[in-house]
Amino acid sequence: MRIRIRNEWVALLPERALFWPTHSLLVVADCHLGKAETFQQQGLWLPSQSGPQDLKRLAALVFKVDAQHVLFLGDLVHSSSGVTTAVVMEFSQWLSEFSGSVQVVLGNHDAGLARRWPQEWAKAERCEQVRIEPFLFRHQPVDGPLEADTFYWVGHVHPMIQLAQGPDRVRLPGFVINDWQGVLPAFSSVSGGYDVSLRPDERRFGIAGDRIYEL
Amino acid sequence: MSSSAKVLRGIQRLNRMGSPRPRRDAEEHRRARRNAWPTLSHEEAWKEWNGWFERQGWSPFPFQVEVWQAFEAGRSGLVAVPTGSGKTYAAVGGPLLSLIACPTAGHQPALTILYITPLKALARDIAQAIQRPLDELGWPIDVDLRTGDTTATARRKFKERLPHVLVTTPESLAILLSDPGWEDCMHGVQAIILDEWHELMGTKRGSLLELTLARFRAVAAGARVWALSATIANLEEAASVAVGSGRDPTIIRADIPRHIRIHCLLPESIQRCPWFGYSGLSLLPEVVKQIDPGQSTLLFTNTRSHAERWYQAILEAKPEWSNVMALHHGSLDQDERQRVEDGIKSGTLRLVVATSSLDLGVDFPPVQNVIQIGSAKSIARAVQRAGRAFHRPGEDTFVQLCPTNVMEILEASALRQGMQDGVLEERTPLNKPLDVLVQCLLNASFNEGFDPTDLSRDVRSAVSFRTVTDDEWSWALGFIRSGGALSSYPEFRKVEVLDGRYRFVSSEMARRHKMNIGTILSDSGVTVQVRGGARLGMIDETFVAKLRPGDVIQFGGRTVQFLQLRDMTAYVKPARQRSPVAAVWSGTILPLSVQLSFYLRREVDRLRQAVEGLDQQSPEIEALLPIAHLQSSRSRIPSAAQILIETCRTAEGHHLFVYTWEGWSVNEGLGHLAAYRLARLRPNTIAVSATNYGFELLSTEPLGSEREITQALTAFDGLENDIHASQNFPELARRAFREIARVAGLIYQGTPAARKTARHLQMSASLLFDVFREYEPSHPLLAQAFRDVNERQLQIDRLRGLMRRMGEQELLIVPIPRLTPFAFPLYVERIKSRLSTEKLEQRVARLQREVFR
Repeated sequence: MRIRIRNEWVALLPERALFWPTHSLLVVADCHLGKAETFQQQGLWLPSQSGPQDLKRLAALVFKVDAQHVLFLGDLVHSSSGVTTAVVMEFSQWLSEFSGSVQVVLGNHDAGLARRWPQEWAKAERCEQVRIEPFLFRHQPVDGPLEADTFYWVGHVHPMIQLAQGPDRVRLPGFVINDWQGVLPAFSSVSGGYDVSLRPDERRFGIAGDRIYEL
Repeated sequence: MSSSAKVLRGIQRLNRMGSPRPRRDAEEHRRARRNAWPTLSHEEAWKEWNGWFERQGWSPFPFQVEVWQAFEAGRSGLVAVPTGSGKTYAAVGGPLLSLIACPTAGHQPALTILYITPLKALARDIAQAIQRPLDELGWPIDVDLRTGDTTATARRKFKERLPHVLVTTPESLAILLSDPGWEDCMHGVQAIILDEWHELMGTKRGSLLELTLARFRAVAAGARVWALSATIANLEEAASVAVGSGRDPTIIRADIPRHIRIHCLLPESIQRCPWFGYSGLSLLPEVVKQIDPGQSTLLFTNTRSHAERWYQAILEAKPEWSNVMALHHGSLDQDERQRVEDGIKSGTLRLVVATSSLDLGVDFPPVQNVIQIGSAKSIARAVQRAGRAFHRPGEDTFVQLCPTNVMEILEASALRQGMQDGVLEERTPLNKPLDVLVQCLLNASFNEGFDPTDLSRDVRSAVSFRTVTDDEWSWALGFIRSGGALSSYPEFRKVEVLDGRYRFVSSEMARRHKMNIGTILSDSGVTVQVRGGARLGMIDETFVAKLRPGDVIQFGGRTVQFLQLRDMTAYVKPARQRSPVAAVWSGTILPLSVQLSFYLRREVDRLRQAVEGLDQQSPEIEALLPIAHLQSSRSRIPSAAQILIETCRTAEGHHLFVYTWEGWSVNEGLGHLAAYRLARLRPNTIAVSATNYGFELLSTEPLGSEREITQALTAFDGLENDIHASQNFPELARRAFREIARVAGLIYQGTPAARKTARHLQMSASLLFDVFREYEPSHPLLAQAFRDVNERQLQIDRLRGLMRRMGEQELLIVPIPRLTPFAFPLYVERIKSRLSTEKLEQRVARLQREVFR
């Protein structure tokens, strides 16, 4: 679904990503690589297949939209302990197969890893935030418009949109967008989410299967 | 809160506690015992014990003597007697006598009698009941209790020395078995008493207790097991599950004749009784008329929310009763419940509105008046509740039933017939639930851990798990060690194998699992607390999520204003204004039992005969005649050998109403199955709604020919596949998986404070369900979720039985011009989810007038 923000067309993708054709930029938030491994180390069951599967999805998406740049909007990994040799390999393989540039905005979950960033991931440029006018990409949402002219794209929240009709309840991951900020859904397939309640100044876009609906 | 306020609250709490605390008595006895362990011969002990009974003005019932003798003869077994007939003394008498007559017991104090009760609220009462004769006889036997409420200090004391008699819950027992060296402390146990066994068996708590006891019996080889059960049909099975396989249980029944009379409250005009509804409040005036504050009255409702609403409604009708009336349900704070229970005992409270929290064996004097709001939906449950009235063996019991809708008037009559025939429901033990097996393995992994060969033998000595296959066993072992179902995960760390023994990898893992012991499924509860004041109880997180600060609700019989939610506590303050909103807890409507269904169908037949002028008079049938005539003129009333199906077309679409009287979960299952099969024949959108009496299909296109409908309802071909493919199955499985995830320790639990610091380990069971379905679709725990849905929710055997009956009986397919009284509740059930309660009640009243016109 294409929407126009600050005179720029952007596409909200049902693959839980944002694409900005002007710059051929694909943005994904909250990948949480190594989440399964983090859980397993703590004696909690979670199948390992989800991480590689997510990277496969990402590769397919990059191919589909023909992105030249990929920006990770924070929480690339779930925890530093979960970044096992296997996880390092999986992501470095994705990096080597992608010919474009890669930037990683560091999120709160990345803090531990940022201090000992794997050699194999050197291609991914790390940063606190990325500004490409008229947008500013960062991990954590802002409470209000800090700079009047800037529109913020953020992650962190994993917004879930609740639809209820009688006893029928569905929770859909989605985008929540207001006048100055847009929140991306989490890209990870093993991330939960937080229910966001509808506010009058917000638009909500829910993802159901391979379609996206404004709700 | 200031420290003086804290002290004050502490004192208030102490004051509320009332009668002597068993623990203090135990202390005194410990001191006394050092000096004098009596040298009583076996005969002398018997004489003293009987003497105590005589001094109470009792003579032991024959069944009590029988149990004492059977215990002494080394037997295990089950005692089946109605509630409140002296089960506790029947169970402990034998073991206490053996203990006191054992000359060496005084020198080597050790745990001898283990008393397990399903409700921690009961533990204190039981300990006191056991203590009483001991005090009065001067027998220096220690009695103590350990439940989830036991303080850390007291728990540490247990590590040093256990009492002779320990009253505990299944979960606390499992936790005791995680202490290092428990085997040495407990190998001398002579008696294990399982109270309210009918409540436990058939639940996952019961399955887990079976496994815990299997481990326990392997250590305490001399222990005899005695289960105490109320009213159920399959006592032999219950007994063998209780004592474990390879033992031949003795069953002792008390033939205490107890006649229960059911009186159904009937409104003067049947118009006043709604055709749909669960609360019954429209008959408030009739109910209030039955309450005399000079007499003690218990008013049972089927849900906590209804208890709240009834309490408010009676208070509004009779404000002068506010001092003698109280509310009691499982979500109230323990202090509050205790105050109510003490109030009943001391007689200061005359009217208590309660849910099943008072169903079980809380020991209090007979109430003169028991009123049940709504049908109990099962004969055994009705008998159990009746047990609260005239709590003295041998006396007549009188119960009043307030119907919440017209069909429940018929149910009252069906209940009476069932009771007269002496029919009761069964409780079926679960068949080797794998999530419980996983928890048992983890429970055995503390300290030195377990040897798989030994544990395998113990597990298979539990009746419900004796058919665990070698494959299932090695899967479970592999699952706790490497986390893999199909593959193993090298990062997984929970249990390791050292010298052939399975044990937790670290004390952190052990500590975490300890918090996870127990299988009771509770929604993540939020504590309700007055700001700067008392805790009121617990409320569902989902309900709190819907509240906004400033909202006023009824909780625990008070009106409070919601302030804020912080750290899993909902802070409230007292509010002046009244609120129509009572707190709502998640829970389901009780399905009709198989046995009651049978009698209900017979009552429907009697209604038909009454309409045809055959003599079938009873107060209930007579009251229902106007409605029966309407039903009969617009449609038919089926005989016991017929199934009525009504069809009609409205602006909404094509309706099909099917009346089975089989309980809503089976109706829902059959409804979705039929909808799936009909929609497969030709594209159609079909909505399904179900009640205890039948189900409705509503579709945009015509549903199909009579033959197709009959086929959809009765064909056994591809039954299981069709059920799994039907619309609501995945949703049901997802819900079942929530419980499995908790029982098997798949999700991180722990205290709210710990949850906060471990946020990165949070995972909802629902998401986990999706992850498993995607990456490990053949996972045994997923299969367990499907099995749980089939067996416990859809009751697939009952569904098959219904389909077979439909195939054999005559299906009356009747086109109806307008809604009939039978169709009305189904119609409302569907629309009610779209409306708020208030709007619904108005709309129902209007609809009812229209239909009756």
